[in-house]
Amino acid sequence: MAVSEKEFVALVNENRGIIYKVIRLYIYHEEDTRDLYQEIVFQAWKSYPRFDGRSRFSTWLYRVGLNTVLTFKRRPVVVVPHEDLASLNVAQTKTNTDESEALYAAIRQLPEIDRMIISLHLDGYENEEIAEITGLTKNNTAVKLHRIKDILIKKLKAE
Amino acid sequence: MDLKEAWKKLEQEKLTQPVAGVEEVYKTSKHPVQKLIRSFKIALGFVVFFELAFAYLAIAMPQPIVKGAMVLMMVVYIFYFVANYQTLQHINRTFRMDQNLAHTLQSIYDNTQQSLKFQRRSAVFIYPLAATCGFLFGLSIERNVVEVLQNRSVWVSLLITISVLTPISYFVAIQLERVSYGRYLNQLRSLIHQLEVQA
Repeated sequence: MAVSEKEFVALVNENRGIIYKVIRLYIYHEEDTRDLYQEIVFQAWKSYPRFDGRSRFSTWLYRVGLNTVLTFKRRPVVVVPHEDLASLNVAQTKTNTDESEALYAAIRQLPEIDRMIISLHLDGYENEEIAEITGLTKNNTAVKLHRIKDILIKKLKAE
Repeated sequence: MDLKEAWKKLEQEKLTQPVAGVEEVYKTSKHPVQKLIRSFKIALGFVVFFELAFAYLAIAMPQPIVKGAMVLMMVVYIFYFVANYQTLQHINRTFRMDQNLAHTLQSIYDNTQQSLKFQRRSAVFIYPLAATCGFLFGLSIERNVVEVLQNRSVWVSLLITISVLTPISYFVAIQLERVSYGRYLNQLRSLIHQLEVQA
């Protein structure tokens, strides 16, 4: 599919919320956000000519973003930004009544692939699609998803 | 707590909100595969440069034996061009971030390793040839090569040149390969390992 850079940039701008979501789920250092954003856009631009339109652009961009973040060389989590200090420890969010913030904190404590699986699931993807995106088998995805949900619920109940 | 509801709220209020300082679109990448692509492009650039240099020498040098040697080197470099170009094409075809990541990276890793291994093995035969061509070229600058080759001591010198230059060239090539491809292949291997462990 021939596509102009202008059209591509417009599509990315319309769907940039997806990239922000990926960044927020995986990045702890502000310096990495800029690099990851550009890496995702770069990878999307390189892959876009072969985007066949079978899925929505947003779905496709989500997949590119998640795949990119898994291979993105991030700074190690040594110093946690102030904003995340409380959220890294779910127990500390007891004072925070916002359930979504607690969920955010709990998800960010999960291993990276697990984070990917649960975020795709919560975004409404079927197990088969998650398996296809992550490269896991459908059964493995189902088992992992069940386990991740259990972990999340336990963490959130512990609040 | 309803996870889906909490997630929806989280998405609206936090996850999809703009992140500061990421407005510009860049066209560079730090991905190891992208670095591999760049290394192969540089290698192809060098191959083309040497092809042109050999073509020039093949035309400019008056002695037929040297012309023949330069044409032989051109053939050898065509082989290098094809090997590198095919690997580059494979990476470009395979490397897509919208497909199964582990399979994609593994395929690129395997294919690149195979290509480099093949080039390393063929180099064992190509370096003596290159050393001979260089030797003949050096002789031809001031003397008639065919006449000089009548002298037995010249053949001994040629054998010494080959036996010294071949291992040195091989060693240098291995070091260059490590710098150009090795570290990116190592990064790729550790990424594949990470993905496998997490799966």
